[in-house]
Amino acid sequence: MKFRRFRTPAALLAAGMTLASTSACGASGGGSDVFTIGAIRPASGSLAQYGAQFSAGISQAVKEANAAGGIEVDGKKVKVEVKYCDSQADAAQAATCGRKLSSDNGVPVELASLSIEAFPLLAFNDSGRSPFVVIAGSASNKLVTQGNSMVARYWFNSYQYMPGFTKLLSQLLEQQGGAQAKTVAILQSEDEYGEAWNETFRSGWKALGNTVTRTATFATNSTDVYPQVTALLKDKPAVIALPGACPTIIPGIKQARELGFKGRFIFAASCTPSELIAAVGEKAIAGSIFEGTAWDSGSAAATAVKDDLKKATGKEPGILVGVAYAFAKWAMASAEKAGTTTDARKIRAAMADTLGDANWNILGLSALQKDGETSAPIYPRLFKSANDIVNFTGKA
Amino acid sequence: MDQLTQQIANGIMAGSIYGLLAMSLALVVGVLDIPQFAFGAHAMLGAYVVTLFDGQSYWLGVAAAVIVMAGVGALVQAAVFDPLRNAEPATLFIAAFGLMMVLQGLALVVFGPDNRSVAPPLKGTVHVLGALVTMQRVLVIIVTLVVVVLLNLFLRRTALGRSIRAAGQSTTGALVVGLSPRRIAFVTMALGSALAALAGALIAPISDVYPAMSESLIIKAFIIIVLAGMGSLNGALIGGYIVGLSESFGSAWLSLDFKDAYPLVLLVLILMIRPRGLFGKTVRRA
Repeated sequence: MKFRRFRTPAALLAAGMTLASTSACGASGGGSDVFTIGAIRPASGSLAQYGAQFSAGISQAVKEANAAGGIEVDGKKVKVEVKYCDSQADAAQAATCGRKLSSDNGVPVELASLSIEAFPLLAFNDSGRSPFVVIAGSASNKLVTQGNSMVARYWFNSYQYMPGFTKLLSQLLEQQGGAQAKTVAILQSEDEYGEAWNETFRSGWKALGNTVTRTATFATNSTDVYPQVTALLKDKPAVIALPGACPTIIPGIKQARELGFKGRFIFAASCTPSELIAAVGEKAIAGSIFEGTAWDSGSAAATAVKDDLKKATGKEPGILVGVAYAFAKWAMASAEKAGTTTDARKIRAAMADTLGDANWNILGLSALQKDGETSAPIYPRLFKSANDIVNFTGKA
Repeated sequence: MDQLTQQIANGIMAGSIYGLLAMSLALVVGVLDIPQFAFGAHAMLGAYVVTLFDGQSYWLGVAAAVIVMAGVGALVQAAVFDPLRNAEPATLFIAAFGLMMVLQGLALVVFGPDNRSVAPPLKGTVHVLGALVTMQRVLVIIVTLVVVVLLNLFLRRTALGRSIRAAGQSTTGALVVGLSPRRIAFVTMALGSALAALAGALIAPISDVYPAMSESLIIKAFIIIVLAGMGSLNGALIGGYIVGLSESFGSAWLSLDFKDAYPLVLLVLILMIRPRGLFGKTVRRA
């Protein structure tokens, strides 16, 4: 009998709470007063340094936005916040992060630094009651071939750029030393990025009639790659390709030089000359080739972002910091354009329009497609010294 | 470069580091029955101590690493394993694993996520029968052999060393003759931690230093002590060389893709033929 007295008020209370929570979800309106972005990166484990660079770029973008009073959504200023999650560079952990950020924080956009973080998210980001956009820095084709309408790539697809890149590279090396200068061995990391780069490079290189002597793999937390390098040097390659972020490939460079390798290296876009010079010195990488992007071309966007990041962090920013900065800026610009902080599908629909000539678009990416693909050119850069890097865009 | 001698050199160099870490583990497993996963983290912290002396004196850094981590070992024994001395083996396993994660997290907080590097004290390479070997790697091999000799002398010729061996054979027997197993446990853990730190200090100029640097090494160390026979110190070093050489030759002559699998395959094959390991003895424990 006692309970009957409270039944009606309790029901009203429950209904009120339900109504309040529904309106807070803001599925159809401009949404909440804060634009929350989810960011998944490895904050611990062997890729913690990579994750720290990723966080630094995002934090800087958010700090700038909030210093200006926030982003403008539907006519009013909205603060931006980031919810980070540590993936430990593990797919299962990344999936847990994705679910947690979506269900606990209701984020409409999640930024994923690695392929191993992005792929698990694609299993559930496009369905269910709380869809979210995934902006990813993956180079793998898999990102855009799964029929997912809520993904966007802010990086380079090696399947797309490699035919053009290998053609230019072949011309450059021909000029440098003839056919012998074009025998390449590959030392790739044991991850999606390394595999994608290896597969597409081999295909492009062999299609031009050139030689890939041998491929070896290494775990990203390896301290010793002597067995792999020794095996590669058996065939006396003129070039060793080392695709990967700088922290993971530095042991490969040092140990190849220790084992007497005197040839060149090829480095992927994720590792820039300034970062390598600091770690291994100019001499170790003299004559090597870097994948050049708009980040290196001195474009207005890249220059402005580099200057801002340098002022904020006190050091020359690596490309990963710049890319993460652009991830966050793209998310914010798209929320502004879409006029919502919570409707993920509207935000995704607005992303193609916000890419273009944006002043944060440091990689010069364009043409966002429905499947999430973007495009940008990549060209070889010949490193002679810190002050003499030659961009090669075709035969002289 | 001669491929065959280079592969032998590679195997011996890698095996020296594996062996040193495995010896630290063999000591603690053999005497205390503690699967000290955290020795990988001790090696990592030893490497970090050396980075603090980068630009000053590498040798001072190594000495500091060994002393500091010996102290940490004693502290770990006091705070973690001594209270659990009567616990089930599974509990010790979990404690060791948890300690490893705590130490890695601590390193991340204290030293940050950026990789650090240490300049090698001896630069340059030497040619040995057609193989190219860096001076640092020669140093690793020499130091490992010296440490093995000194450790053997300590364990066989000193009273404390004989006490450690006695406690490892029989805790009850040690008590009966007036030895203090708890005191011996502290010394053993400190000694094991110092060996692990030395391994880390020797790796520091070869590889970048970061919190997760020793994860794969400690797994190999465990494989080695099982392969060699639990508790066999000299066997652990020889096991280290066997694992190092199997990786080197397997990568060169079979497939590079399975470099980390060769030690496991070798372990299974050896245990099938000799279940107590290559140098393990069947002992009755009191």
